[in-house]
Amino acid sequence: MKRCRVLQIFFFLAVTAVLSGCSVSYSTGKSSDTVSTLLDSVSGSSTSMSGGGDVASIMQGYADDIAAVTYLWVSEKKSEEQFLRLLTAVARTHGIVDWEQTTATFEAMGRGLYQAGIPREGIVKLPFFRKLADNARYALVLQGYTQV
Amino acid sequence: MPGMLLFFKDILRCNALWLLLFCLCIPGTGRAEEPDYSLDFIYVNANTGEAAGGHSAIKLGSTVFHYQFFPGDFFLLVRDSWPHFKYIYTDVSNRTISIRRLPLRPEVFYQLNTHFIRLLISQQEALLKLDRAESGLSLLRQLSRKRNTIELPVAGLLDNQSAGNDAMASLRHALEKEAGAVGVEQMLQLFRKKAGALLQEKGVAGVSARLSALREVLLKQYFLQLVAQGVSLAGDALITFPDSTGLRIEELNKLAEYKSQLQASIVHLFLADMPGQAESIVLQTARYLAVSRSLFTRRLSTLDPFSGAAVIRNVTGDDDLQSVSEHLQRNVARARRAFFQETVHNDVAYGQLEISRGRLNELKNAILYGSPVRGEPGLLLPSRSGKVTIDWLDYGRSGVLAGAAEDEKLLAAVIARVKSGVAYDLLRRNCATELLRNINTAFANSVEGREALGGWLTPDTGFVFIPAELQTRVGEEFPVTDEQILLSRRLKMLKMLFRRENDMFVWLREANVFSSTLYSPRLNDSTFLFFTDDVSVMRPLLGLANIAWAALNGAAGLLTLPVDGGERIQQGGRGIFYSLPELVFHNIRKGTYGFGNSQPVAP
Repeated sequence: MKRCRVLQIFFFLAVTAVLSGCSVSYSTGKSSDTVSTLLDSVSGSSTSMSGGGDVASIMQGYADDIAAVTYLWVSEKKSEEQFLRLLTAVARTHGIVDWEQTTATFEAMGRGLYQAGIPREGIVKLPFFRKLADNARYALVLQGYTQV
Repeated sequence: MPGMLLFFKDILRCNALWLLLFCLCIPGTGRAEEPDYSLDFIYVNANTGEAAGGHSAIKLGSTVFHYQFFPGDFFLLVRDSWPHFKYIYTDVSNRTISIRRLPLRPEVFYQLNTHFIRLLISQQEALLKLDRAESGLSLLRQLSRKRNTIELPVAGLLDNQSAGNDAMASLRHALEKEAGAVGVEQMLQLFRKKAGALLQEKGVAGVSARLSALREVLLKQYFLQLVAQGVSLAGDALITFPDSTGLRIEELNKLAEYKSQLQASIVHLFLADMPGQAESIVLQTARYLAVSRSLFTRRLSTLDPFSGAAVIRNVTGDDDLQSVSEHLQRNVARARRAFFQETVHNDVAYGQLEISRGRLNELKNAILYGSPVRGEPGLLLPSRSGKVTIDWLDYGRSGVLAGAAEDEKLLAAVIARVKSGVAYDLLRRNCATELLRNINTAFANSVEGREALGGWLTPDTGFVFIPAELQTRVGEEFPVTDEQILLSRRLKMLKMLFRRENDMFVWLREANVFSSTLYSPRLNDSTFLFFTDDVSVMRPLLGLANIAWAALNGAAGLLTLPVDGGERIQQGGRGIFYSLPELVFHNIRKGTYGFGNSQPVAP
C-alpha cells in the first residue's frame, strides 16, 4: 500500500511536470474532441460559473447567487454602484438581462440581507433599498428576509 | 484455458482498487444523489490529456464544486450538477470516481454551501474587474487613434446602415412616451454631450470606472441613434434554419406577448439608468427585432449567440458529427417547447432557445458545407461587437487621452493582478489544494473547523496537493463513513459482459482495442493496443506491448508524414509516453468516449 502511494506520487509529479494536473473544462474545448465539447456546452447550456439546465434550476442558482451578492455587498461595505454592477454581471451569467423585472431578485436580496445580519428595520437605511421603500419590490425583499 | 481464465480473474480481484470496484460499486443513480447533509470528497482517477494527474472535487447535496482550467490560463472554481459531473467523468472521460462521505450537521452543511457560493461570487467580481480593465484598455487604445469609429460590444447585432424599420418606430413611440414626451433626437444630443464631457474629464475616480462610464454612455447614444434611424438587424446576426417549421397560432401569440415584454424592458432599462446595463439595452433591442421578424415571417428566427471570443475549429472528420447533430436537434426541440410553455421567466427560456439553435446551426453548416464550428462555453448572451460611428466626438481637449499612457499602465497592472489571482500552480494552487483551502476558510479557525468537520487538513500537509493522496488523507483525517466507487463507463460495461458471457472469451475480446466491442479508438486517446486499467500483475507486460505498438505506429508515421503532417508520429509518441507508467504497474490511459454515442446529461 505504501509502495503504491509512493508510486502514485512519483507518477503524478512526473506526468504533471509534462502536462498539467486537474481538469480542463470540457466545454472550453481544449480537448481535440471539438464536436463533443460543442454538444456538452449545448446540452444544458452549461456555464462554468453559474450552473445551468432547465429554467427552474437556473432560477434556483440565480437566487442563491443574488443572496450571496447582497451578503458580500453588505459585509464588505462596498458602494451601491459596485453592488449593482456585480448584480447585473451575475444575472447575465444566468441569462437574466433585466433583473429588476424578476421577482426572484428581490426575494433573494432579502435572504442575503438576513444572512448578513441586517436587522429588519435596518434594511430601509441601506443605499439601494432606501429607494425601494414605498415599492412593491420592498415587500418582496421583506418576504425573502422572513422566509429564511 | 480455464486455468488461464482463473489467473486473469484472480489478477482482477487481487487488485485493491478492483476489490472496491466489484464489491462496493454503487450504481450512479444510487445513494450518491440523495440530498443529505454530507460533504463528499470526490476523486476522479487519471486518464490521458489534461486529466493525467487525476482530479479532485467536493459535493454538497446535488451540487459539485471543483476547479478547472479555462482558456487564457484561468484556473477557476466551477459549480456543476452531480448528474452532469458524473456523466462527464465516468461516461465521456471513462474515469472511475471514488467518493468519501463525511456526514455533517445541517448548519455546517449550509455554512459550507453558502461559503462556496460566495467564493463563486467573489471570483465573478474579480472577473468583472478584469473585464472592465480590459474593455477600458481597448477603449482607450481606440480613442487614442482618434478615428471616426470605435468597436463596441453588441453593436454588431444591428445594421446601422439600414433605416425605416416599423418595429423600431413602435419602440421609439413607447420610449418617447415614457420619457415624458422628450424626443429621441433630444436625448441623443444629451448623451453625446455627456460622452464629450466624460472624454474631457481627467477624473478623480479610477481609470476603469471613468472608461466604463464613457463606454456606457457611448453605447446608450448608439442605442438612441439606432432608434432614431429605425435600423434593422444585421443580416448575419440571425439564425433562420432553412427547414424551420412555421409558427402555430399559439406560438405567434406567445411571441407577440414576449415582444411587448421586450419593448417594456428596453424602455425600462434605458430610463432606469442603472450602471452596467448599456449592453443589455442594445441586446434586448436586437432580440426585439428578432422576435418582430419571427412574427412577420411566421418562422422562428433567433440571434446568433456567439461572440468574437468563440474558438473556431474544423470538425468535418469527426466520427460523432451526425449523432451529435441529432442530440442538438433534440435540444432545440426541448428548448423551443420550454420557451413556448414558459409563463414567467421568458428571457431565460428564450436565451436557452437562442443558444441551442446557435449551436445546432454551427453543426448543420459543418455537415452541409464543411464549415468550421464555433465553440464557446456557458450560458451565452449574444454580444457580437461592431463598429460605431463617433464622428460627432470632439477629441480637442481630451483629458482622458492626455494621461492615456499612464492609464494604460494602470489598467495593465490591474489585469496582471487579477490574472495572477486566478492562475494555476502545480504544487500550491491546484484542484486539490484550492478545495481544501476553501473548505478551511469557511471556518474562523482550525479549532472551529475541527469541531464542525471532525478533522482538519491543510493544503500544505504532505502530498495532499496530489488528488489521489488528498483522497487517501481525507480517509485518515476525517470521520468519513464509507467509500463509494462509481465505475468508468468501460469497466461498468465490462462487468456486465462478465456476468452474461464466458469470462475468458470476454477478456480476450475486450482487452485489446481491435476486437473490443465496448470501445472504438479515438484520436485523443493516443496509440495503444491493450487496456491496462483492469489488470495489475500483467500490466508491465501489456505496457511493453503498448510501447512496442506505439513505436511501430510512430515509425510508420514517417511514411504517412506527407499526408498527415506528422499526426501519426505524434500519436505514437503520446502512446509511448502514456504507456511508460504501465511498466511499473501504474495506469493512466483508459480510453475515452464521445458525447455522440451516449445520452448527454444537462448541467
